[in-house]
Amino acid sequence: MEAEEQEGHPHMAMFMVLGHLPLYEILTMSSVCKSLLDEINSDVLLWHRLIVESPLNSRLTDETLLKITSKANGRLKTLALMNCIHITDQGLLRVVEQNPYIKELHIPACTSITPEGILKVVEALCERSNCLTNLSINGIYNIQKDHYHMLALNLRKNLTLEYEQTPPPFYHHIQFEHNVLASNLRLDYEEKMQQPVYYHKRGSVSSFKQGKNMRIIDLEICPKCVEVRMVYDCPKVDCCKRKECRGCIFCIPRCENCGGCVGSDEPEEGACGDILCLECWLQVPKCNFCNKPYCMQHTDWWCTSTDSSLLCRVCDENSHGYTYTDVL
Amino acid sequence: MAQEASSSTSSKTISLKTGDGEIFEIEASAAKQMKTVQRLIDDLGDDITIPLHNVFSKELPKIIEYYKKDITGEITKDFEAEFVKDLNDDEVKVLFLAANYLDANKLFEFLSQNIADRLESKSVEYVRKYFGVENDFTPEEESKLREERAWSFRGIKEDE
Repeated sequence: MEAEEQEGHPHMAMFMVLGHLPLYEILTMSSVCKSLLDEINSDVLLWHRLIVESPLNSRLTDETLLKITSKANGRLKTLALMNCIHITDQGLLRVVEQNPYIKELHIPACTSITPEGILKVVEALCERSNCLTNLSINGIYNIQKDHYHMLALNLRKNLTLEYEQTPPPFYHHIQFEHNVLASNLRLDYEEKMQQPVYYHKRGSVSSFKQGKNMRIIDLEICPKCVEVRMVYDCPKVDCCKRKECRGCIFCIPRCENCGGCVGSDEPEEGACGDILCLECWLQVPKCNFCNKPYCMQHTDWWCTSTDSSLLCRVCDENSHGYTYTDVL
Repeated sequence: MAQEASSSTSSKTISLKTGDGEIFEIEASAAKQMKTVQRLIDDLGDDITIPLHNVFSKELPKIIEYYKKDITGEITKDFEAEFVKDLNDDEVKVLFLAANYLDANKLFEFLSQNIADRLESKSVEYVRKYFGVENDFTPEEESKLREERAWSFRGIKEDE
């Protein structure tokens, strides 16, 4: 195979991987060899989609973001800034002003951005039809219901075109007095048609990377406490109220391992402080000393004692403390 | 066989011969998904064993497995996760290049994403080795690149 290619040069097919890479890895690739650097600098299409995550998330400034997004020549389509804590309202707005055709905006946990900032940006992006279709804002502080309704109202403008063809079944039978109610209902319908959102999958590869059916806004109004939150579905097949077992994590505590609802009388706390349901708790290994397990996310916290048994970090620390004073 | 009714093309199999001389059978409908194979069939006819000089007996069965699932519409995220689970980075690369040669678009796209996932947080040296690429930058060019990328190495003063 490689006999046909020049020695030491990347196979042309490898260039196709570039389009799937987040920014950090694109920067790595640009340092590999000249032909990759040239390809990366000259391929404008590559820069239509920008994904910034760890480890760049804490290093990205407004200035750098503007510089990088300018490589899209105004045609940026997907912007994903995952926990980019230094990006401000102004920084984001400048990018949006230069790239008015953004279709997907994912800015979860960009904690320097405010709800007012998001509103400005979303209004700008929804001015024309066929614009912003997906927004992720979980982790931004202080998002209130007013903000949420305004965002929904703006994004709804884009739905009108799609839903003209297939209106939801109950839509026609309801009278609205207020646009806000209408926008909420339409989005509610949308949510129900989308893939379920499970608590235990909340940290895994973002849905926008997998090209799955995405929600218009990641947040919802919790049906139980009526606050603006991430609302999770229940994956438990035998959950008696499955269809209604939807709520934010404060209203319905969930198991870290399986995402199932955990009744108020059963939460079992792991050594990491996370909650497990009884079924999962019974199945996972426990600390030899305190009998607490670690949830799936923290299995690398396990320590082994001198006799090769499992110890949680707390008990491990305590045991060393004991040995230390013993030596003294 | 060319006189058979079109309704039987779905059960028709094509013979493929790998670069190392082994022969595998695939359904004609699966062969359609591999544009290179389809072009060869159009040129040589579907009765002949199609030679694939650049694909070998190690990877072709895996590719055939993928398209067997594809023609029954059974490819799910779970299937794709299983499909690559036990493959190491080099095995994925071989499959990827084979899919490229066969012009098998769906598999190629999927493997591109998988390779991209595997490259997460890897070093420049690792990528060079992986792609079989030599460093053709001069030391001056390298230091210029490092300067331009400086922001991506250093943390902002508050966190580092």
